[in-house]
Amino acid sequence: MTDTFSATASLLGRAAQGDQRAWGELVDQHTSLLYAVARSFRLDAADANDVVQTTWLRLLEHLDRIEDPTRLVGWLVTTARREALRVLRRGGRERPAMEDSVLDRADDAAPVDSGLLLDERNQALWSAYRELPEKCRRLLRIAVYEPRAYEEISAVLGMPVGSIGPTRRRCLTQLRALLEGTVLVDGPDGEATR
Amino acid sequence: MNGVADADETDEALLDRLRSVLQRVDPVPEHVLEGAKALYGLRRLDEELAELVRDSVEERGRLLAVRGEGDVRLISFETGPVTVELQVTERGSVRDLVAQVAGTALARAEVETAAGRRPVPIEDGLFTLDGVQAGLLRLRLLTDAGRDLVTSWVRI
Repeated sequence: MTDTFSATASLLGRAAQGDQRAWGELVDQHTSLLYAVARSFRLDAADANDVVQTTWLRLLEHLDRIEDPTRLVGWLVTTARREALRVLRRGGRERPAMEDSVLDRADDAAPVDSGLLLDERNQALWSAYRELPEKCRRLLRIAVYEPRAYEEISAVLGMPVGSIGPTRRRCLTQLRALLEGTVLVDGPDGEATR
Repeated sequence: MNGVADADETDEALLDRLRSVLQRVDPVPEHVLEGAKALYGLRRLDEELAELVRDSVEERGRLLAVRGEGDVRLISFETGPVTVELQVTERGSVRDLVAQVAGTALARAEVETAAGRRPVPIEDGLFTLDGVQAGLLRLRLLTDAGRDLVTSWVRI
C-alpha cells in the first residue's frame, strides 16, 4: 500500500514538473476506474468519455495543488461523480432530463453478445453479475478496481461508509450464490444436474 | 464439475476475475485513454487558474428536472479578488455566452474551445459571444497588469 502511495506521489510530482510520461502513467492507472464510475451512472459511452476527459482536465488544473497523494483516487472519483451528475442534470446529449431516482439505476447496457469475448467460466460470471441488484452491480463495478476504497465507493453510491464493507460482502455472497445457480445445467432428461 | 463455481476462489480472486470480465465486455475505448493523455499538452505553468466555484446546473436538483430550450446556466470562477461570471444560454447545439469579469481591468479576452481560440471584444469587463458549439470551453484573460488568467474548463 505504502509503495503504491509513494509511487503515486512520485508520478504526481513528476507530472507537475512537466513529465508527460508520468501523466500518461497516471492516466493508464486510473482511467478504467473513472470510466467505471461514469458508466455506473448509466451514462452512454460518449457521455462517459466526456466525464473521464473533464475529470483529467480538473486534475491537470490542480496538479500543483494536490497536497495529499494518498487521496488522489478519492479526489478523482469524487470529481468524476460530480461531473457525471453535471452531465445528467444538464440532460446529457439531447437526453430528456432525469429525476434523481434515475441516477440510482446502474448502467449495464453493455453488449449482450459477450459469447465471443468470454470463455464459459467467465460467461457464467458475467451472467451472474447481471442478475445482481443494481446496488451490487454499481458497488462491484468500482470495487473491482479499488476493493478497499470504502470512502470513495460510499461517495459514488451515496451510501454511509460503514455500510460499504457489509454490503460488499453481501454482494459477493449473492454473486457466488448466482454462480452456483449457473452450474446447474439441463441434463438429458431436462432435469437440472450438477 | 465444469469449474464455473469454485468454492476456493477468494474474494480478491473473484473480484479480479470480475474486473477482467467487465473490461472485456465494456472496455475503456482506446480514444478515451489517448484523449486523456493528450490533455497534458494543454498545461501552461505561466497562467493563473480562476477556479470554478459555482455552477447553477449543480443547484438544479430534483425540482428543476425538466429542462427547456433557452435555459440559462450561470457559472462562476474566482481567483483572489477576480471573479468571472459566465452566463450560458442553450440554443440547440450552440450556446450564447455573456461573461462579466470583475476585480481587474482586462486588456484582452479569448474564448478557447476544442476548435481553438477566438478573441472577443470586451467593454467594462463584459463580453458576449453567440453561437458557440456545445462542448468544452474556457476563458483566457489578460489583465491590464499583464497577468494571464484562465478559467477552469467547463462543458457547456
